[in-house]
Amino acid sequence: MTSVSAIVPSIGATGTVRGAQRVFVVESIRSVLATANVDIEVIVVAGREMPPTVIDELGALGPMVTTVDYREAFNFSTVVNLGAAHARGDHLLLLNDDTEVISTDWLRRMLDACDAGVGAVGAKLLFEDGTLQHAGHTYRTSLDHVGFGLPGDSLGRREVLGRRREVAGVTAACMLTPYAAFDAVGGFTTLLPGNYNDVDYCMKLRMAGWSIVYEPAAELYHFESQSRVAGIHPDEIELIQRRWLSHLVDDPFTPAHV
Amino acid sequence: MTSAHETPAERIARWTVADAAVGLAAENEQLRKKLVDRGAEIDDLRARLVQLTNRIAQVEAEHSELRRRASRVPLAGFAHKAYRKARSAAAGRRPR
Repeated sequence: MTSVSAIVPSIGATGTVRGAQRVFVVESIRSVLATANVDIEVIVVAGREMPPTVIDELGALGPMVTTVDYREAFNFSTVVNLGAAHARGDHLLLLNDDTEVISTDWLRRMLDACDAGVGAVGAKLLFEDGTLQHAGHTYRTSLDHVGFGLPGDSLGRREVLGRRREVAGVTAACMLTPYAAFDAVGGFTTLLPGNYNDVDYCMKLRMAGWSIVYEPAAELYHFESQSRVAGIHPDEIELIQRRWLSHLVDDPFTPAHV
Repeated sequence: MTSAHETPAERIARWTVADAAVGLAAENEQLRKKLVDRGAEIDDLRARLVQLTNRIAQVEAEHSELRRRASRVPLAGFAHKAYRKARSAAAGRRPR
């Protein structure tokens, strides 16, 4: 059986979903464990803000859930690498803590899509209201999510939202990647602490010969705020362009208008 | 190379080195592409400069020829008369 190590960065934040208060990471992992149907371990990389009560709740979910402490200033890439460094699985599942599984066979579908030559698989992510948050990345001058904000059941032109297909990149909010690929390209770059680290990772994989795949049958909610404006530092833009500019101006996988 | 005996810290250190190498290679590739682009731009500008230089020489030659021909055109006697007549008529219409 393929073993998967889920890496879940978290500070144990709480929020309201469907009118009910929840600890995001606990409910996310609960939904993962209820549906994974594969040999899985869950590594929660706990930031210094993580309440001890949440650690206890995570421990109660089962022996497959472990916690790694992270006490430094937040750097998403460092956190992911720290979790991956403790992983034992053949595949890494990078998962935001504010997610919840929808399709019961999601992980099987992602593993199925993670064929030889595939470096990363991304899922279909929906906002709480059912609109599309992620159906793959598209890099065409600006770096965007394909179909962002469309109804969740939209198929898009040439059904790009509704079929498994190669894409320019996928979000790290829910990304399955072979450990061997992660190891070969040096994981996530810590030079990009907040933004574009998943873009950089996908570009590293593509340049090394792996492809990136979007799997729409793997559906999850991503309770990220729709109005969230990411604070992008000019250094992050400068670095991503310095490394990959010529590959970020024309997307060979996704039409300009979905 | 992954080693089963690696500690997490050793893995992370190795990834940091690998990422730096991949990043430098990517930056180098971008620089080389930019170099090729700028080289092509210089070639294009040089070709346009040659075209413009040729065109300037052509227009200058035409200009010289026109000037030479213009200076040689004799003003006919009837033209002088018509000119003087017109000037005198214009002077007569001036308001006093």
